[in-house]
Amino acid sequence: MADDPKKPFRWDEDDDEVVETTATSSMVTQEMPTITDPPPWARSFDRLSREEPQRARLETTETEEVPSPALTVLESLPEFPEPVDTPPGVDGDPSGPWDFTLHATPDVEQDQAASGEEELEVQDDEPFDRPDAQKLGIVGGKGVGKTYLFQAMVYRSYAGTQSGALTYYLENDGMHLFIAHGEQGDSGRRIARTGAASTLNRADFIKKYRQWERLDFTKETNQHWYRLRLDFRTGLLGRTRSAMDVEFFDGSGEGLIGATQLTDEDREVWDRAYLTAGVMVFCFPLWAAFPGNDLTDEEWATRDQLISGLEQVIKNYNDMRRRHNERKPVTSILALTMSDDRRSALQSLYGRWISPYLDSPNTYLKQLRRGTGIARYLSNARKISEALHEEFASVSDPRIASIPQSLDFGRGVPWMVALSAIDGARLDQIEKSYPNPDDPRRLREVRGAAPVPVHVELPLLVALCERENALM
Amino acid sequence: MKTYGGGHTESHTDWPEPLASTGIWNVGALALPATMLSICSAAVFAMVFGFLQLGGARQELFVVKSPVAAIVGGIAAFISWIIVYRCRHRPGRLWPRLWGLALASLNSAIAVLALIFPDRSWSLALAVAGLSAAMALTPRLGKLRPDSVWVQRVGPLSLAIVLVMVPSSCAVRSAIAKNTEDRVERRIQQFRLWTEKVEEVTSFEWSRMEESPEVATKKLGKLAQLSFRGEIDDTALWRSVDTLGKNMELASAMQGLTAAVVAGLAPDRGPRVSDLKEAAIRWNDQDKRWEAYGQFPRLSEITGSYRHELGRLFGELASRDESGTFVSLVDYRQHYGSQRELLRGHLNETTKSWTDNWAAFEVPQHAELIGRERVPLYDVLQAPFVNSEAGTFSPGQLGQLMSLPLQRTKALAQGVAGCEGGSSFSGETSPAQAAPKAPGCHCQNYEERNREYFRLDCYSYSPRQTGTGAELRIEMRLVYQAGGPRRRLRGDSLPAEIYFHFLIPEGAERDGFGEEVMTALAAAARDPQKTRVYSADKGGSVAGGFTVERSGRVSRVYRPKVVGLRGLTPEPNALQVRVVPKGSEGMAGG
Repeated sequence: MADDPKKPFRWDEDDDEVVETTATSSMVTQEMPTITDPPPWARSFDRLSREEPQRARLETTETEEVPSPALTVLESLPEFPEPVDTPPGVDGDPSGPWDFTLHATPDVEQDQAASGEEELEVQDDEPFDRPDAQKLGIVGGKGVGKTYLFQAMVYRSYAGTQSGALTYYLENDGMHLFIAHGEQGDSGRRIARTGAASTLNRADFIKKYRQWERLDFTKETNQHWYRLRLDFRTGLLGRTRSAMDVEFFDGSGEGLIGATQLTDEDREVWDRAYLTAGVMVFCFPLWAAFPGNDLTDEEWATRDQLISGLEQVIKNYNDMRRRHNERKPVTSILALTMSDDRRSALQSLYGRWISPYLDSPNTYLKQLRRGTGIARYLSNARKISEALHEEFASVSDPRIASIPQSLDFGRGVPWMVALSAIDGARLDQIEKSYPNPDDPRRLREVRGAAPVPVHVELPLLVALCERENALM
Repeated sequence: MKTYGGGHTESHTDWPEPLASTGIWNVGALALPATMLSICSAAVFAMVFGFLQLGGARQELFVVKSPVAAIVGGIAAFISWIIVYRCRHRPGRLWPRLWGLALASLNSAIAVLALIFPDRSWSLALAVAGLSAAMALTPRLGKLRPDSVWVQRVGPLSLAIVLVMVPSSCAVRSAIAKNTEDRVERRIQQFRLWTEKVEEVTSFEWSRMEESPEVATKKLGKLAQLSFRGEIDDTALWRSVDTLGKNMELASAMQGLTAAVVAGLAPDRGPRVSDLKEAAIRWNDQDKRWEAYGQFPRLSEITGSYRHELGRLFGELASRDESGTFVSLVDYRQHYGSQRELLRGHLNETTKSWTDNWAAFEVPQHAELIGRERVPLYDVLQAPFVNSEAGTFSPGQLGQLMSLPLQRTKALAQGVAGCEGGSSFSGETSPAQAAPKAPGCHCQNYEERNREYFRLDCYSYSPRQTGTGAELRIEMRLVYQAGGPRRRLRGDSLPAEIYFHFLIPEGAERDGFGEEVMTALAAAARDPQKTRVYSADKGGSVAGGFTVERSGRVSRVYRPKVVGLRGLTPEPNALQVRVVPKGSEGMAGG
């Protein structure tokens, strides 16, 4: 761990024994369960009664078999059942092929089971697919931080007054989160249809993130469709409350988004998730684009995989557009994630663009509540983007230098946003100090140090401007 | 763990902090573009309106013709409402949407105000300010992405808009004020030019139009081209004239024009059918049929059109502004009123003419000025056909006419067509006295069956049903006959007959018309002092004829007879009335 607080921290430092350095990302810290070990939350769905469609109740026992897939349960649900009081989280236990993606999250149910709360109320409040929704595609190869980015977005927009550049627009308590019920594809490994949407308990959704628990990779069997609804005032006199729905498909970087061979089912999911997206966010770690000189062999190898992963993602996206002869321009953003990572060569960028915000978030959040602050913030963000373009142009590695041009989908080269979803060094430190997540000392420590997502709301602002031309 | 080189070398060190100053573009980061543009728009509105209203009294020169201001206001309102409509779903704070709505409402109200007060400088100033503000807000219709450089440049752009709009509005104001000043000057000159044109036409030698009807038609065309519609009550012009201190100049020019128009309608001005050398019809003694004067319809049309056009122009010169806002306009209205009375006098005078009375009814205002649509038959018979210092005679004065010696008749008819040679009997006239004293009459001195005859034929006309021409209404002949074959007429010869043709109006019932004619003739002949009229009917009706007695000389008026004026196409019917001295009935009956 670096001692200099201004110096970018390196993600997963001193975690050599647990970090996957070859086939998996350095972010993976939990041991993968076997696919024959179904999680309790998934098993619980077989208890949902066909006779009680309005208020499906279930009991979970860790030893029960899984006699029927959750799909059966979903088919039995009415179109608009009761609300979900205990919505799912995002990334529960790794699951096997029977791990159907549903509206309930594994972690929440695990927690409920542990605490003796065995009832889960489910509500389908509206169809998930809405033609007026603004689709925001967040894609990237494996281990680039897509899920972290979305978690950080939810976290940042949770409280209207602390939403950074979005504060100016959002209503107080103007963020809602939905998850698609989803239906299994033929292979049982994809969400082929989104079905109805249920509201999510936001606090539970960001629980792991808030408590500095490392998030797992999104597996192809654990993909979710989310809708982030942002309320804002509109109308002639500003008395109308309107909303923008941002749809986000939390897809697996390895199993779907960056897959080299896509099946028909994969393509169907790709189409549904990204074909109509007006804004595409391509995630790529900053350190992988601009590595420092002190990378290890393993880290160089990981970098190669990340570059290859991004190339595959871009290829898959272009293939999809070509397949559908899609000519509609798409606004692209290159989200340079993990900008706080000390492996990056752009330490000045960290010192000027990331660190001040990270150190004194309230100062910035306060100023970003006003239009003056946003205008200045956007101006500087644009300068950062322009400078990053120059950095890309100065890289000798053609795989990196070509990235900006490859992300031009009719709206010009991408806007580059250097961001940090979570302070990686801090995450590593807490994880190293307290391996047990339930350690009371760990909980005490994290209680007083909330994560500070930096610049993660910018893609949402782009989506808002794309849909509502908010700046004008 | 081994480490290797080959990492990237950071080429930038001047990365900005998230809220760092943006240097010279800080002005662009004062607020978000929607707010900046709204502030700019409001500033433009206030500043443009303020600048346009500066300049003291001369600001009143900042006016344009109606409905330009209303159109400008309408365009501004249209643009504003488009902005409101297109931006109604935009998220963000209240101020930009409130300003958009306020501007749209304001511009709508301005458009209405500009319609109601089209000639006020403030309404145009509001319209221009509203349009400027709307234009300043139009960038909101464009799409702006957060990574656009225009996020920061909208502020300076707004400032530039203000900096451009304000001097532009001042330039526009100067241009419009100069234009208004020029317009005032041009209008005064225009009135003077119009006066010259009217005088040119009215002073034309219309009595010779028979010789060159084409020239007369061209002159008339000049009148037809003139139009003063909307030129008098141009309050914007009067206000500007007041501002420039040229109100008296304008009023004087307008008064001159009105006076010129009215002067052209004087009875002795302009074309008259009484000046024509030939009447509408004449009797061809050789062929024993009536012949129409081919030029007459066209010439009478010119005569009627002249009065019609001048009457139209006089009507267009009327002011309908009763507000009394402008003293000079009030003066002009008074002048116009006096000219109207003068015109009334002209028309009344014209209606008293035996030959030309019809022309008064071609003036569009005749109904309101003289209160009738045509001269009654009785009045026509009372209208003098000869008017001189030597005496005045009208066709209805049957008693006097039957006692009028030939010598005096010829003296009275001096100068009329056919009598140009003057009288060989009286020697009362001199060559200098060429002006006809019996306009519209024609002399004939001829022999028939060895007898010498002298006839004075006089014609009266009425307006045609269509067009502006005239048609024959009455023909009167005062006939002198020598006492016997191969005898000459003597100076003291008295009329052998008075012969009338009253053309029966289309659709009139003959008996009724005959009774009307005889009644009017009897009434016109009656003179309580010297002339008595006796009905031939015991019931007192004169329809079947009557007797006129004056100074012991008795004349008999025979029952009218309907005759066709053979030779004319179509052949009109006329009521023939003959007045014959008692004792010579044989001739009358022949």
